[in-house]
Amino acid sequence: MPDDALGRPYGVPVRREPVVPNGVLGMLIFVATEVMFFSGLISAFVIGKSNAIGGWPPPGQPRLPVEETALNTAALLASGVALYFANRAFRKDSPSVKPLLGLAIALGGFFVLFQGAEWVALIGEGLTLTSGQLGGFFYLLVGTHALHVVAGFIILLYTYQRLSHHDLDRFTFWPAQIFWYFVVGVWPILYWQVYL
Amino acid sequence: MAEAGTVDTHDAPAHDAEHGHHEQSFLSKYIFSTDHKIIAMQYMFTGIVMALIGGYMSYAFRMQLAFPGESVPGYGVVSQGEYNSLVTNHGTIMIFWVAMPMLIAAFGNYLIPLMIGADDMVFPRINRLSYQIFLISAIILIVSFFVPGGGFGGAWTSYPPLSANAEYNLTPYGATFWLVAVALEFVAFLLGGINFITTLMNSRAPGMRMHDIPMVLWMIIIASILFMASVGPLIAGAVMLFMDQVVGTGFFDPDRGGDPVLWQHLFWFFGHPEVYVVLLPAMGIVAEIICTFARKKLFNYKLILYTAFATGIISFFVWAHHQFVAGIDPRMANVFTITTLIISIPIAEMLFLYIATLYGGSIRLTTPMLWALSFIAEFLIGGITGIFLGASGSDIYFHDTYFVLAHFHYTFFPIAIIGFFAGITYWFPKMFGRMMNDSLGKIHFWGTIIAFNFIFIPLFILGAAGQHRRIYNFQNFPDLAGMQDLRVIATSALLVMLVFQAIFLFNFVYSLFKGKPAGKNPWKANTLEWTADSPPPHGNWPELPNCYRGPYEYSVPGREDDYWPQDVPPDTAPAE
Amino acid sequence: MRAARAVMGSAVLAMAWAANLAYACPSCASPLEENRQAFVDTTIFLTVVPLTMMGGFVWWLRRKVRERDDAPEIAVPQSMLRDAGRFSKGP
Ligand code: HEM
Ligand SMILES: [Cu+2]
Repeated sequence: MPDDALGRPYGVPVRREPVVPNGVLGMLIFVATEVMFFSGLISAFVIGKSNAIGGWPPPGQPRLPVEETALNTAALLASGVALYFANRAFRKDSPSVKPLLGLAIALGGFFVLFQGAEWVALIGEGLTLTSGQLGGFFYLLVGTHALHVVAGFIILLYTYQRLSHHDLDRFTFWPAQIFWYFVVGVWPILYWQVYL
Repeated sequence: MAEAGTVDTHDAPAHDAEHGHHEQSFLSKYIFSTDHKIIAMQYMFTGIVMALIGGYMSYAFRMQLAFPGESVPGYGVVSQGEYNSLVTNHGTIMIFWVAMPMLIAAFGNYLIPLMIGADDMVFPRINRLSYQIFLISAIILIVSFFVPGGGFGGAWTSYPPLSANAEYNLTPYGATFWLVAVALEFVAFLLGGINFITTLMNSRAPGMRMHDIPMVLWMIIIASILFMASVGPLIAGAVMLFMDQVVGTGFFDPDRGGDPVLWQHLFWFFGHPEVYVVLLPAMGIVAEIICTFARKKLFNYKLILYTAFATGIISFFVWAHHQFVAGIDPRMANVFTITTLIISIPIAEMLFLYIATLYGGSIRLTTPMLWALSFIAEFLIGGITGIFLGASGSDIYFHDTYFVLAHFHYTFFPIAIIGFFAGITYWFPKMFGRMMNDSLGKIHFWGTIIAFNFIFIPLFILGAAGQHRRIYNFQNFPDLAGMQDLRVIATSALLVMLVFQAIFLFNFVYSLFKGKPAGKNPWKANTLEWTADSPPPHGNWPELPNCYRGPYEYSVPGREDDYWPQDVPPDTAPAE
Repeated sequence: MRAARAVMGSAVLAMAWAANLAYACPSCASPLEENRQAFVDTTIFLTVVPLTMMGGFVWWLRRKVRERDDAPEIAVPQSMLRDAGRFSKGP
């Protein structure tokens, strides 16, 4: 049997299923960009901290609510876990998808609201964007993350709505999960860097 | 065609509702189309318009440098502030609104589906969105020249505190508009990049394996990957700079505990990979052209591919060579000197492989081939001068002189301008169904190339003599004032070059309507796009092609034709 | 012989790290030690993250491709290929 120039036998070409579905691949690439975006923010923060004369956090600034946010962190992580189990249920076509997905969404919403309350308190104590490097970086990092949580929240709501209409497919659910896992996954890093 | 066992790809290739078959209005056909070819054209024509604007700006400020203080015909007297703004926006436009859209977005959108045998991108609507955002960003940039205070003048690298503080840059609106435009442009390319990578991975024609993908697509994909992986930190920096400008934070303000070098850190993390983002597509275009016109197989396809990947990876290790004099750790400077010198190796290697492809070929000197060959020659000069700059010791002297400027013009001009001309003269028959006029093409070629060298060789000399960049009038520097002749030569050559572009524009428009009909495959090339009609209809093929071999099977011994298109089934019946 | 050369080479490279602060121009060093260190750290961080991601992705992809290639080659019905979700078109 003759071979072609690359040394492989002539065969009949077959169109095959993509190794990674379009939506998943697209979302993975997008999330990779987001990871770099957050890496940039974190690097900026590390350098910003290093410039502080007199140590970090800068003296005379309001204290960040470390313990309360630990609770909030737990809520967000729990949301990620709930979503993971929702996916397992989805794959098995089990009816518990809906409550699990609902739980994930609710915990995400809780996270945003809790953080909003925290911000109101902090602004009351005088920590604003322009009050200094701490305020600037705090709202920059945490605020950017909050925007992502809101975006992820909306995406999950959308999947929930599709689920209610029995028309959620894995090509929509899977990318949505990837985004949410990303949002959940960067938060502990931010918490560690910004609060601790 | 060998059909046994293949999936039936005949039923109308995935034309969903949005692709409707019926007559479309002009608006939905040309303005709001999701067809990858139309989007490519949109990117291309926007890029050409922006290139004309950028060229006009260079005309204005070069005239000021050659004839300081005199009124420039067609512009008027260039003031100091305007000079800065012209230089800044010239650089910004040429890199972000010319090189990127023409090389990556236009050729990427046009070629990826056609070369892999697909009917469109996998996310057509995201593709359309990408162009729309791009267009908005271009409009914002143009508007920024006319806002109170004028366009931003803090250089395309936009270093703070100059860029962060309106008291220093005197362009309270221009600076912010500039920043927003650049950020939007990144978003546009991000969306485009997602599409490119996913499409190449998932929509290839049956039978097209990794090593059957034409080199230009690999290059565009590697460029997209580099872009996606490097742009994040710059977007982070841009957000911070925006907040410094608009909200009044002090991230980059040393007075308030900020760090101006941080911006450079984030900018160049993107900035250096970015030069490979635009370089690689141009290298890919050149690879296609030299194979077709040397009638030879690409010399060592796999080595070129892996070299390109390696270049991409190394390009993440070199960026601090732009900061040798910015106050970085000297140990880091040493490390980055070494990596910078290392990265010139793969680039040189690729050029050698291209030259090896030419060796012994039956070369046809058509217009695209001339452009491709000149790319190799001119880019070599750019790469070699980079080595002097990469050595941190000599860079302390050369930094921010015209030597750097000439260096990167010897890289960017081949990439953005030569690469574009090579690509457009090569694919014009496919895009518009007619041949371009070859004689006019050659006149345009020689006029452009000769003039180009006369612009920038004098600038190398001036730079080596210590002439700094971004200075309004060198007459104020006694040591430099005497070298005015060189500046006049450079500016005159620029004028010649700009005039020759009229020939290209004429040739383009003339050939669009009056050119010789091209037929499907005027160059007798192998890749799949040449099997579609010229111009390809909506959906590209009545039935999507299969792929049976690599893209560069030219002059295969024992075959009658000296080419062997990828979609032609093998002579022998398939096994089974 | 080979080994000796490798040792020499690494030694020369290591000297690059031993450059002292007076090596470059007078303005070429940050007065703050923490700041200097932070730049080195974030340089390493920013370089490692994308390369790890790309490497990890390629590794994951290769594994998936292998898995698929080990499975018997079955042509997928066009109907199934089309089913790529609402946001993207089939191949
Ligand atoms: C072949 C290897 C290359 C080496 C070793 C190299 C080296 C350098 C170095 C060390 C600098 C900094 C000089 C200074 O500011 O003092 C520089 C500047 C620059 N290079 Fe290259 N380069 C190479 C290829 C390229 C390519 C391919 C491009 C473009 C596509 C490019 C575009 C630029 C630009 C735009 C600048 C100036 C940035 C600015 O300050 O405005 N270089 N190059
Ligand atoms: Cu560079």
